[in-house]
Amino acid sequence: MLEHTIRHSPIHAWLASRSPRWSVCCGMPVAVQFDSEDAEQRALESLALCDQSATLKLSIKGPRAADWLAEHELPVPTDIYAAQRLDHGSLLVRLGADEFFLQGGLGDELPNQLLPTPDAAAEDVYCLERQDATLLLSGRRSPQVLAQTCGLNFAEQPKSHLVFTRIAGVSVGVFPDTHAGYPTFQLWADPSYALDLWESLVQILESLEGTVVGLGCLHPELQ
Amino acid sequence: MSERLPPLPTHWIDQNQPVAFRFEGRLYHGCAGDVLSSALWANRVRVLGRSFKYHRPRGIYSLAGHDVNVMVAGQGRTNLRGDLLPIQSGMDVRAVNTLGGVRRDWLKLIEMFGRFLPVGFYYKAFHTPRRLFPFYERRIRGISGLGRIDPDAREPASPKDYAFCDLLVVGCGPAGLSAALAAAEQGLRVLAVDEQPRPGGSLCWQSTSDPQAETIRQNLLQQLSQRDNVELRCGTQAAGWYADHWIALVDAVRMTKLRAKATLLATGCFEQPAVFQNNDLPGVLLGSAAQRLIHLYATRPCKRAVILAGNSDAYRVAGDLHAAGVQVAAVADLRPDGESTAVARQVAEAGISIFKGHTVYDAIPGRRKQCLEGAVLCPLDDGGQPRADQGRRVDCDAVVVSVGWTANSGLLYQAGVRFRYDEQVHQLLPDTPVPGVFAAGRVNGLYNLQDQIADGQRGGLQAAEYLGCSNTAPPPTAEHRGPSPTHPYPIFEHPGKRNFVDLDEDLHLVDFVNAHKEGYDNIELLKRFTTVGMGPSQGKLANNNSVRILSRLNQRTIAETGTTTSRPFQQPVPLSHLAGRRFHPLRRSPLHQQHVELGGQLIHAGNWLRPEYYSRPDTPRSACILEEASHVRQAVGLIDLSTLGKLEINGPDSARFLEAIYTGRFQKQSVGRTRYGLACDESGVIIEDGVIARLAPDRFYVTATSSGAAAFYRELQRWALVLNMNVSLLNATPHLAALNLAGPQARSVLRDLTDIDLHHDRFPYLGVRQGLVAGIPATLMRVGFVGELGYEIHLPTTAAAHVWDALMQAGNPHGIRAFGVEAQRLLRLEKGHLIVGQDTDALTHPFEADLEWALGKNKSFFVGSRSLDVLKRQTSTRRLVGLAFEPQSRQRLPEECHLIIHNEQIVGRVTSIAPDTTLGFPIAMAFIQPDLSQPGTCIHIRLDDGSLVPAVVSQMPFYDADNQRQQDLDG
Repeated sequence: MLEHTIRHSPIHAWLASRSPRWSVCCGMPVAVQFDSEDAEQRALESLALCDQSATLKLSIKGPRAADWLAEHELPVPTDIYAAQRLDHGSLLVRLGADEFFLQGGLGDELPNQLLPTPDAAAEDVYCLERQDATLLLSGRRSPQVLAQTCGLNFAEQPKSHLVFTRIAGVSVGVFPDTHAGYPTFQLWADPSYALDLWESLVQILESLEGTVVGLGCLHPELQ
Repeated sequence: MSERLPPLPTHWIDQNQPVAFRFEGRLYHGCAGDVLSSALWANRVRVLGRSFKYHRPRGIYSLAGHDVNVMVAGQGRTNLRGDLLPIQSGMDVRAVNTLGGVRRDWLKLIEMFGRFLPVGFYYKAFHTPRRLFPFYERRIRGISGLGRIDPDAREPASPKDYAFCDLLVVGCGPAGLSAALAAAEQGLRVLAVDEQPRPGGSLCWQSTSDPQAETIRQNLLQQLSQRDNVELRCGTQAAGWYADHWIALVDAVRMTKLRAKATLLATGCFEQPAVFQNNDLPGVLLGSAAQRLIHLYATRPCKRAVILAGNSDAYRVAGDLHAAGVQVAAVADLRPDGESTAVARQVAEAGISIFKGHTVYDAIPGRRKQCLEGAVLCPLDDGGQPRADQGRRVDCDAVVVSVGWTANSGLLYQAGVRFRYDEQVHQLLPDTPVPGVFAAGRVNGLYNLQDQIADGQRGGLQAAEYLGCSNTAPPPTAEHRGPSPTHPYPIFEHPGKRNFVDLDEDLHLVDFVNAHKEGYDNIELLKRFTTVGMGPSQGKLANNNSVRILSRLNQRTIAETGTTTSRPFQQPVPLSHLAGRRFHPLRRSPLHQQHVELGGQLIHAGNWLRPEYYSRPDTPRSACILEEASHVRQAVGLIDLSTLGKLEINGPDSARFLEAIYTGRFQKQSVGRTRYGLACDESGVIIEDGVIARLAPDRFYVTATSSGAAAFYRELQRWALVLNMNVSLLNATPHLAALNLAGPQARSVLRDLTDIDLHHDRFPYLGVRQGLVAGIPATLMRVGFVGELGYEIHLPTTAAAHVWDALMQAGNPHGIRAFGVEAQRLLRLEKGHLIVGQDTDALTHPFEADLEWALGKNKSFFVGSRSLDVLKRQTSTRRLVGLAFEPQSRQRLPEECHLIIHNEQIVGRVTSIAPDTTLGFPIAMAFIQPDLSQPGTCIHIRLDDGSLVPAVVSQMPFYDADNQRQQDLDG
């Protein structure tokens, strides 16, 4: 039996081709840094793309899903597509009357802690470990990238709500947010499409003088 | 560059920045800010292009892109309009549509045969003898058309772009700018676009004699620049208006798909030509073109000009030419009473001769028709036609035409606005409003600058009111005052038949008369027959006059005659803009990198990239595939099945739900066991199959075909609602990878990597277990798609590479090899397993596909059951059977979809075939008539070349009929 359980981002090979500094998070090698700290911090504020696929994610579905989450003392959003920020950077989104999406913050094991074992399944609550590619588009010029890839007017979307749309031809969930005063867009996509989506975004990003950054500029503890 | 005028700050060119470029191989120098046409004109080049049909020399006409006299090709691009093409250092272009260069162009000889080439000649000639038509067609196609596409030219991808605003203002002239400002002041987010490189519209080139014009322009721009809710995009044309204010904005590099909440069109007007003999030659140009040359490009248009006047603007042009040092030889005013305005008086006071009630009857060509030598002026009779016998010659090198305008109304038409003909301004004006669509300025028939500004403000307020952002009632629309800006019929007959109506298509006046005589008396029919307005400029300078001509021929009014339909696009749009950046994403397995490293030859399977086989040095494809398949039969192989659909069906009603969806029974299925599932649609047609594994009493795990998974999941969601069952569906396809470890050594490879007891008694064939594989939680199913002992391992995609590597490492001592899609197809064919979509089609039902065994007995309902009850009572027309071919046959073999022939009739078709098999002879699967489906029947299959290949109907499976290998009871 091999001792190490190793997860891989769907764009691991692409990241490796740029020779970043690596770390491990949630059992997955994560690219921490591609350029100097200052350069990446500047890019993050201006225009940057970052792979956050290491985060743990969970689908919770079933007639008792909302009650079950409440029993775990989680604040359950009431509106469909409304997102609730949790401790440690976790995010809970209501996708339907009886369907939720939970993403742990980087390094946060909350989804794993909630995931019931087959023997201890709660009645009428069904969980699925999700493996979505998770990308962060960041910076003041990030709307320009979206303008080239998506026909949705993000400026008119309700705050703290997830949006389902297509970016660069790929179906994605998008969570528009702000970080230190500049806009960010967290994207979740089917991992099988992740490389194409990533390459399309990078191509546009680089034409706008943006860059790919490592997770270290968002999570200094990884540096 | 002796034609240049002293520089002014309002000019668009910088005379301190020379730019060297080549045209027709010769080196010229222009200035930064010049377009190709202006730069060449300043270099005294007069022949800038050749006409479409007769290859007549052409020069500047509108200098606004409203004509296509100047079209060039260079640097891999073609049909670039010289009026709009900024010159760049090193640019090297040539005129399109010439043979031997623009100055010589041997194709000008076509004009000598012009009398034999009237409009529609190609409809009437060349049809007989019929065998010669391809010859004629090739020749005509060879010499017609404009630029040639360079198939080797490559351009960077044009970005896609989406934008949003409250109000789109099209046109940044005085009306557009004031409309944008008025709307912005009410709080609207305004996007204002103009096709010209700088904002201001006619303020930049036409109103320059008004000392207030530049001040007004600067003030408006300054106020707009101070607002953060206004965006100004110059060099951007609104090329098309679609439903719900979806507008295509085209600039030099991209097409922006704009969604506005309201649209205000201040698009101005196109100056219209007059129709007289030789009105197309270099030196005949519109008044607005002359003004653009002077005020934008600091270029003197000519030395000595005759002006053909039909309105006040002509006198402003005369004043501008005079001020630019041009000798104005005469003004021929079409109106019997001429003009009595102050500007006309100024022209007269400058000593310029004004001939009232006169026209230019003929422009006299110079050498090779490449310049003008003079013009013949004639008085007009009461019917408005020239008295040719009273003509007088005036020497000149230019005839400047300023006889009227027509609204740039294409977008308004596309938006559904209806128009009425106004007799005062002789122009079609917007009449029936469309919600959210507004017009301002000249398109409303307003030609006075102050009226245009006021109308823009009104339009802006109206848009704000429409969007609920203003309570200020907009003032009413003003009306034009003074003489009409447009002459109603500046069209003059001439026996020489070179009085052109459509410069794009070389159509002259008689072409219309002839078309009318042939019965094309409706404007839409006339357009189709003559092709008027069908050239690259889409009739901007031709449609108006063609309507006038037809209305006179029909003795009807303009309103009765109507107009042709305006459709997007307004201007030529490069195909690269329409295509945009390519977004056709492909799906990659989480093991993509592993496949690449192992030499996997990737093929497209639906949206997926999958390894067809793994290449080996000096081994042909077929041998690689056969080797992979043989290895699975003899040792062990590993295939990536991550493309499979993977669904979870949970809830108390899950078994009942599956029984409703699939043809089989599942309520009594034991936990830890799998069953084959076959799904039909309501008509009984097979749509899906897969494995259904029961993980818990209320929890099933289901696989589906790679290409059908997404649609099948949607169908399950729909049925869950329709049947009102307590089930929760989860689509795990993107989140789980799947591997199939298959072959007699599979158990040995897996044993050391998992905590699951693999002994046959504890994990039998068709069993399902959950445990760890290489430390990763996984679901394992013992299935036999390829006909050997096999374990399908389903696990999180992020860990797939880790588990794959672990299995390959553990399998090393057993000689494990990866096998691709083709080897799997071969193995399953040997085993007689069909693939839904490959061996079934849109009509196949279970009785035809030998799947009757998969139908649950005595089920009251499942999707398609009623149709299958009916089908069961009918006689089948085909059956899916196996075919075997002669071993080691040297004969060519059929391919999939080749037809089976019996008694010269089509009796079936091949659905799958494997030329090289582990059995030693080729096999196939085919649909065939039931009476020929008995094993041992000899049939023939027709190849592409018509030859017939024999085959024998065989019992399936071809391999391991009693399933001993996949059950592997010895393990």
